[in-house]
This record gives sequence, C-alpha cells and structure tokens, in this order.
Amino acid sequence: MQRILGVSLLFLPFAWAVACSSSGGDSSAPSPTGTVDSPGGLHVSAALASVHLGDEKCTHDESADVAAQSCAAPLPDAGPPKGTGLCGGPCDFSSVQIAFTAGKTGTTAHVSVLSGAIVDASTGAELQSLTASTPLVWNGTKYQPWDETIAASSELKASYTLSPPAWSTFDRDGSYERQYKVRIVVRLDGGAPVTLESQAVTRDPPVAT
Amino acid sequence: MTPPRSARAIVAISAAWIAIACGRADRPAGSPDRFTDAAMLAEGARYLDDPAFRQAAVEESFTNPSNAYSQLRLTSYGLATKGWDLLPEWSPRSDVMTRATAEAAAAGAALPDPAPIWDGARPATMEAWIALGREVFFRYPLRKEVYVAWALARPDDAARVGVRAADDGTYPGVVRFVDTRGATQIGMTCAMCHADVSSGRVVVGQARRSFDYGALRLAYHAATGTSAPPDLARRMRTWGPGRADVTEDDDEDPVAIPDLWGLRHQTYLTQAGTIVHAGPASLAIRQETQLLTSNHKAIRPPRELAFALAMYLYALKPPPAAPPVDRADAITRGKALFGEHCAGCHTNAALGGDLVRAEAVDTDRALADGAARGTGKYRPPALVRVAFAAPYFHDGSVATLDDVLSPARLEPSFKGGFLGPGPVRGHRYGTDLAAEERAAIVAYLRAL
Repeated sequence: MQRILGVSLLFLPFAWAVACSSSGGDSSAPSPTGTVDSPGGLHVSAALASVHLGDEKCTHDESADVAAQSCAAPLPDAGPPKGTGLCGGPCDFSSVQIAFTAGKTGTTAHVSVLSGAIVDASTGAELQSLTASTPLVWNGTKYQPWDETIAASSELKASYTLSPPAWSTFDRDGSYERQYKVRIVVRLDGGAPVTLESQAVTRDPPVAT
Repeated sequence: MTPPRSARAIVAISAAWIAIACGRADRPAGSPDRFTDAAMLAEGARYLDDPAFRQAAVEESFTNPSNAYSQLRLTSYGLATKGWDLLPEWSPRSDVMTRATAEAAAAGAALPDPAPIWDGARPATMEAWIALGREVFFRYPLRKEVYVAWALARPDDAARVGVRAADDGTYPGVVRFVDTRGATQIGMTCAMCHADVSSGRVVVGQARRSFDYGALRLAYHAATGTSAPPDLARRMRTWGPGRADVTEDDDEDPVAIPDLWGLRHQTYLTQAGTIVHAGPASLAIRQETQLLTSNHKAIRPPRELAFALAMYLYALKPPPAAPPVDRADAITRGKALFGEHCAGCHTNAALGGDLVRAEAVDTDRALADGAARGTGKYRPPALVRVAFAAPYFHDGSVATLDDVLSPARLEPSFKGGFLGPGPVRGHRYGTDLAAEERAAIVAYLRAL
C-alpha cells in the first residue's frame, strides 16, 4: 500500500502538468504570439487576438465607405447598390486583430504588416497571399485610423482589414467547416520580420450566433 | 481484472486532486444548488474576476470538445495573455428603433446620438443584474444589419418576414447604434429572434416564429439587384419562418428558434446539447462568446454584460397558459400517462432533460452529427408553454402537438409536415399508444 501511495504521489505533479497544460506543442512552430524588435531598441510583444474570415467578393474600400456615408437611415430607393458592400453590407470583410505591448525602453517605431497568407490548417500549405490594410487602433471606445507608430510602454489593440480570401479558387465548395490558419508577417522599422500564425479557424457562417 | 480497492481509491483521489488543482468547479455539473440567486451571484463574481475560473469553466462547458464550436472556444477563450482576452472591450451606445425613429431616419431627419447601454458600474443586486441584462437583450448589437435596415423603410414587407413594431412603437430586436468604428448603423439584437410580437405585445423569451431571415435577405438581394452566393441563396430558401442555419459547417441543418423559458433547469444548452450547462458561468460564457463572434471577433463585450444577460434569461417568466380547452379529467389522465411514457427523458422541472443518443431519437441527424456543434445526441426540449411552441422538433418539422404523437406522421402518405408532404421521422415515443391515450397526453401538454 505504501509503495502504491508513494508512486501515486510521485505521479501527481506529472499528472497535474499534463492535465492542466492547454496546447503545448513545438516552440519553434509558428505561434499566435511573438516578439518584434526595432533597430531603435524597442521590444514589442505581438499577439494575434482573433481572425475573422468573411466573404469573397468585397470589392470596395471599406474605410472610405464608412467615412463617406452614414448608415443611420434605411437605404433609400435609389437603385441598386454600386458594387458590393453598400452601407457596410452585405459584404463581410475579413480582418485580423493584433495586440501590441511595447517594452519600457527604446525609441518610437513603426509597425509594418509585410505580408499575410491563408493556409490549410491541417497541412500548413499556403492557399493564398493576403494583404492587410486600413490599420486601426482602439481608443477606448472605437477603432480609429492608426499611423502604425508604437511608443515605449504602450499597449495597443489594432485591427487590419484583410483582402478577401478567394474561396472559390482553393475551395470549390466554399466550405464553412474547413479549417484554416492565417499568417501575418510583422516588422518594426527595419528590424527582423516575425511571423504570427493564428489558431485554426473556419469561415464565419452566414448567421453567426 | 479488477484493480485493488486501494489503487482504485488512489486513482479517484488523484483525479479529484487534478480537478481541484486545475481550478475546476467543485460542485457537480448542472447541480440545482448552482442556480440559486446567492450561488449565481457568487459564481458571477468568480466569472468576472478570476481568469483561472473562466478557463476552467470553458473547459467543462462542452459535450463534444472536438466539434468546431468547442474547438474555437477552447483555443481562444479564457487564455488571459493571448486569444480573445486581448480584444478590446466594447460597451456600445445603442437605442431600440421605433416607428418614429425609423420614419425620421427615412425622411433624412437628424436623430440624437444613441445612449450608452451601461454606465460601467457593476450591479450589486440580482435585481440590478436582471435589469442590466434586459438592456443587453434588447440593445447590444449582434452585428450591423443592412437587411433589416433596408426592411425598415418598407414596413409592410418587413412585417411579412416578422420584423414588426409592437403597440408601444418599438421594434424589438432592431437597434440604431454606434459601431466599433464610430459610424451609426442599424443592428440586430437577441430580441430579434427571442422576443415575439403577439397581438401588439412583446413576449420576451418566446421564439419569433414569424421571423424569416432567409426570406428577408433574399428580398433584399432581389430588390437591390445584388446576389447572394448561389448555394447560400438556395439554402436560405429552405429555412422558412422561425428557422435558420447558424452552424459553422456545410450540413443542411436549419433549426427552429427555441423559446428561452426554464433555462436554469436545463442541463445542456442548444438543441444538440453542445454546451454543458454546468452553472451560470456556462451561460455567461455562451453569451460572451456569442456577442464576440457575431461582431466578427473584432471586440469582446464587457463580461458584466454577458453575466447580466444570463441573469435576465434565467429570470424570464412564460406568459400565462392558454385557457384550458380540455376537460380536467383528460388533463389528469394525460399527466399520469406522461409520467409513465415520457418522463423518462423529459425529467427536469421544465420537462426538458439530459441528452438522448441521436440514433435513438431518430429525427433528422444533420445537426447532431454536424462538424460544427454536433454531439451525436439531442436534448429533450423544455415543454413550458409547449402549446405555443409549434412547429416542433429541433428542426421545426412537425406542425402540431397531435402530430408529434400521431403514428400517421411516420407514414409515406403523410401530408401535414411543416416542411412539406411526406413522412416526418423520429421521436416515435408515444405513437404506439391508443388514440385516447395520445389525446390525453396532448391535453396535458396543452395545459402546461
């Protein structure tokens, strides 16, 4: 009995570690989080907070649309919308949200999203390159346009619009259950690029609940 | 070979130790003592202030941790230093639309800025939580809704798809709000699907079975000369009033909007029992993540609002039962027969129950087997005011209570199915009873 008890007690810390660990995995594999350094000595933790995968055919500049017209009023009977996305819908843009936390030292730096891609979550194969545009930053009540500068000791919650995934070119059925990941390559000033990769996500369903 | 008793005891102790060490809740899932007001307020405090508790709560929240709904939350929620916890907290300004504001907007009149939903002060009493939750239910936008905005300018067309004003002039579920980029939009809230407008009155918690979201979107496209993706358009045509396909997969599995009464008695949430309703934190997390994902994962709601919404839903009371149409002795006999033949599954105080294997229920299996929210099982629904809840089954395929128990429904010649002619399979329970016995059970159900 004592031997069984002793073995069990030895086993407990290991069991705790295994049972309580969330994902673990290869530390060298692309991750939703990373550290980006600037030549000016600013160290910034970057984390992909979320990815939203929207529609394929979003053809207009969303930021211009939102700024140009209020959607407060019901749409007037002024004929069919010009292009997709009139008044913010029915076009659903893809986006990525990134949290940046800067260290206490270093000079203000400029964040660049160098590239993006959507990849097959099971194989890691790149399916399409994506561009990130319209940098926005949360000001406490809303996302506002952002010049992508980040200063020491700042914590920023940013959002970028992603170019529309061309579902029909790499997924004939436009599947809502196929799993994807999104890769984003970020850099501070002329520093080394760092790749962030999201958790596996699906396209959002037409009625997300 | 049976392990020695001492070894089994040690394994059990180890399992309990691991559960405690990982921060798991220490009371049984769905235990009624987690749903008293005092217990819910105590659990709410932990949900709001203890990240480890939230992570443990989400980990005990899923019947099938492998489906897409569960996986997304397990990899994104409650992680403190990564994932959704890093999203900005959005406490919106939002007003319920009224006939007057819709008409003023259509006329191009300036409207006042929408008011904040919440002043930022955490409620101190259950009553205050419930009051805040009501504001969330009616005013927190799930997303901007160009389709509803379009319909508001056409009240008759809007009413045909279930977007209608109550006698007090409000459009329950339709809001004018300031979005996450500062633009004023028209949006949809929980009340769009879960508050009906009946004889001019708002009935909170009652599914809006007249709301035909698919038809609304198709009407928009037809009127504006735009088009939905062909496959989506085909699917939306099959939804019909009171149904929508909300799952993250490719199955054809539109579900009927459920009523929300008796929630605290349910041990599982959603028709396929996707969520283990272990305690109030389970529902709060359900609401928190729903408000997050429906807003395109760009923001997260303040947790106070998610918890308040849960408290409001638990507090919902059904409307008065309809005046009895059956003889008292038939109702009494039906109650006895229900206890004999139905109460094995419809076990709890709301007459819902624990999950039943989909192959045993044998109704349409797409939802139960779906990659998105499937568990391989279905949840017996609550039967509170079931007389008002037609059509029945998770997919709204049965038109009447009589048909639920009628053997004729199972026959190829059946023409009364809510979704069209032909047999409506599954839930054979009670169909083998004598006609008089079935009638008595229906009499009892009508009186609930």
